[in-house]
Amino acid sequence: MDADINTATAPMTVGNTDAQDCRVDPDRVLVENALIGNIEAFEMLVLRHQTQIVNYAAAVMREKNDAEDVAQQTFLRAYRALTQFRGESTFKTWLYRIATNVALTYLSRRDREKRIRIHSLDDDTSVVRASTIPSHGVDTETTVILRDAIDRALARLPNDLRIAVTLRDVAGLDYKDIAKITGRPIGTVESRIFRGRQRLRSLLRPTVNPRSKNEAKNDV
Amino acid sequence: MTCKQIEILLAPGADGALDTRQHQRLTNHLAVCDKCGDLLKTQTEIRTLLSERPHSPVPFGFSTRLVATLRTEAAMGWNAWIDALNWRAWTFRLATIAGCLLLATILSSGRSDNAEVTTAINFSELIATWVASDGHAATDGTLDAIAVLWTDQETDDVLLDVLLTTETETNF
Repeated sequence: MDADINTATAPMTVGNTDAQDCRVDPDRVLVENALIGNIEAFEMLVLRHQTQIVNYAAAVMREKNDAEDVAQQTFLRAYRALTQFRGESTFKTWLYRIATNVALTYLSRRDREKRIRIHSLDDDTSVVRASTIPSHGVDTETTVILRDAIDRALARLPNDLRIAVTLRDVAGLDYKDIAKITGRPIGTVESRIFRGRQRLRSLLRPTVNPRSKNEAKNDV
Repeated sequence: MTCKQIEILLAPGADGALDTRQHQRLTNHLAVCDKCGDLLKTQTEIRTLLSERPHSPVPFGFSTRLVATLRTEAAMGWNAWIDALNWRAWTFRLATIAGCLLLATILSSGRSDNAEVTTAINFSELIATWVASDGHAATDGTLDAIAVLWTDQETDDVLLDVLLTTETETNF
């Protein structure tokens, strides 16, 4: 067990260091071209980031029909506000910040609508909706089941925990970027991710447990 | 260190995002605390599971629709400038605004201005009558009052007395 702990907690040499701030934004040239009205350059940016933003939106939104809208709105707002991008963070981080704001707006709107409606949508309905997102990719049954299980569990978390966990574990962003995106101190981000994962453990028990049981058997 | 103090290190610990000092503190604590060891294990399991979440497929035509919207917006932006130079559009818009302003002027000036005009005409007529009669052909008390005001030689008390005791046609 000690070996596992040491592997998992091994100090990071790249993640949270200041050297990260000096990284070159790979999107810089395209952003500059888009700023002078080159829509093709912005289209390249969309193609480069659409998978990440669509996935982030799909994982964060409880109403899966909203996921595409959130992703579309994210890019539209980014284009309209491109002159306000000062390059203090990478374009990708900036895009995630916009996506988070758009998602939160949608979520609060949905919460209001839910309060007004007498009959709220249950989880089964949202599962069906998740699988109805039109796609051109190959989507096997197994991947759909696993993804839906994760998304349903994420949907049960409060917004702040869900966003922090999704940005870290689904989008793979580092703590510093998540702090920038959410506008919270790194300590708060770490705490939210810790609490979010702990809650997910019970929600994803059927998915997580088989592995744990096997490990337990091996230990015995 | 207490478990509560270590808790904040568990999520970044599972991600390998601790610096050397934090890592040492966590390792020391885990050596004597199985409970925190289990928590760290959970953190690692969930992180691994979520990182393996199958990608949601990008909706068909996502970028095409997006770029089409952007192009439409851009075109509308140019159209707005061209529209601004279109005198016909301006004429129609200004005609409506002018009509509204005219109507507002008529409605607002209707009552109060008419009263002032009437007063002014009456007053000027009275003055004219008084001047024509050389200050002596007063036919009613109003002219007396005007005469007193016009000469402006009486004291305030006299003026007040004249005004109060005179039958006036107009309000001064």
